[in-house]
Amino acid sequence: MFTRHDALKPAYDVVIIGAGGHGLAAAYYLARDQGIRNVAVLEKGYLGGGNTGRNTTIIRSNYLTPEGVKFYDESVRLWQDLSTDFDLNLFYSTRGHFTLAHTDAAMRTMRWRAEVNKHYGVRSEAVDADFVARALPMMDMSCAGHAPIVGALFHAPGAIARHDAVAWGYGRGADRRGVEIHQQTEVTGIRVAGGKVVGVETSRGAIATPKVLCAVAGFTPRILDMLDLHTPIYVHPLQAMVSEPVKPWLDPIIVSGSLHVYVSQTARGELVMGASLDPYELHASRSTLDFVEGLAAHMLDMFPFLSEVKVNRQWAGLADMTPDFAPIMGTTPVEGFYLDAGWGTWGFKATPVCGKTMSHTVATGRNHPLIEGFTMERFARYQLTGEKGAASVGH
Amino acid sequence: MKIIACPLNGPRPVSEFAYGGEVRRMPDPDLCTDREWSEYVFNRSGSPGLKYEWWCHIASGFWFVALRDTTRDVVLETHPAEAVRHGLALRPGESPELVAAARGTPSAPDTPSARDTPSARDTPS
Repeated sequence: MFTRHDALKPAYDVVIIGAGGHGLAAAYYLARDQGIRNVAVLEKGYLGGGNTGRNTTIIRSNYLTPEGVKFYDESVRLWQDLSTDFDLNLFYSTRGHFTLAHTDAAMRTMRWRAEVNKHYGVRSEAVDADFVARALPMMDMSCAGHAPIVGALFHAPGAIARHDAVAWGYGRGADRRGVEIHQQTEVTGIRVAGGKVVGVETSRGAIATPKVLCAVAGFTPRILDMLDLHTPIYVHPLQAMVSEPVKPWLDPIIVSGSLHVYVSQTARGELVMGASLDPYELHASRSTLDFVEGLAAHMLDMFPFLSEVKVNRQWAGLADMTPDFAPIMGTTPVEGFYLDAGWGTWGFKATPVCGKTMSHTVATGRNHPLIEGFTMERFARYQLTGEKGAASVGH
Repeated sequence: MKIIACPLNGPRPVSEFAYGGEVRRMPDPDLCTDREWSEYVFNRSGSPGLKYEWWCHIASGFWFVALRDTTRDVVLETHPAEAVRHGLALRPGESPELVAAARGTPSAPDTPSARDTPSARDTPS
């Protein structure tokens, strides 16, 4: 599927650190749309082996802030044609997405999100409990009696897709256009002269380059240390689990902020489930019994008939979190060093728009308009882009 | 890490504790620049390593400091909260006297209670 490259060249026009969805998407759009093909993507592990291969594959644009809604809506737009662009089936499936509200305060947030969404042409509605009950007749609307559902935010464009395939699709598209993907190649240093990037050091040799894009999610602080750059990013594991396959019964994607649960059913019939971030910092993708017990208990609050269904597998990724639950993207104080990070628990859905905007930013040296709300500088200016109400569960 | 040795209560399951974040030194808000203050409020040392962290045993309300390996998830040491006042988790080159002199105040503890009650900053330790 990919060209094998025996050795690194001595120089490239752009070096991308991280062959996950975001890094490969940036490489793809650099080659396809910006005409920049002398690019190396360096991956210390295997392609798509980081958070791209570990997320729960939910795609939506029902965010809270104008910056967020516009950004994620563009992403959903790009998702529509990806399978055709790649000639690779991404199993993209529009299912509809419910964010359940269990309190009046939550319902207020749903109405707020619906209004902002509608203002930007994104199809979201605040719906009542009857609407939810009709769409999900198998759900216990009282959630075991202690968290009754009062309504929801219904987002018709909500979808799921095959996460690995997105990395393969972008990777193959980039590879076919001359981008070099080097796996098992770890960046060990970034060389700077006069405040500008001049090259990178790797486990397989040194490369000269004027432009580096860093898209490594939970490994971001380690790369930033090489440049003495400081950000709010903190890393906690995010766990997930999947059930055995069962007959199709769940069409939409369900999220409950109160119960800290999200669930969807794949084309193979498996229930893919996630919950809150792990409670403390850890740089290891280990799984815990605490997590699977807690999530299973809340799943049974909503769907008690699942009590005999088996959990097949659990895993974790490393979420690079930010205080406002919005990413950190674009130029940095080091000229030629570009960052696509702080994607925490909300990065998979943004894969296409990150590739598009970061490729533009790297090619032109200036932040794409859609990412202006996500600059590293915003914290020094106390101008956070507050997406905590829409980005995640269990905070 | 499934069990933490609480200095007060002895070995307890990790689910009985709340994580309070890394021990960090607060700059004097009256003397630092807005940028320095924003760096204190928002920035974190995000890379893996050994870190001094605040932990609270929820049932007993007892706060303490743990030195934890954030890659292997192993607690190496625990210390009482007062240890921060006496120089635990200072940056290299810092001393409690140096920090206090820069702030023009007697050494004041960088504990959660001190952060929450501004008047505590001005009371002699």
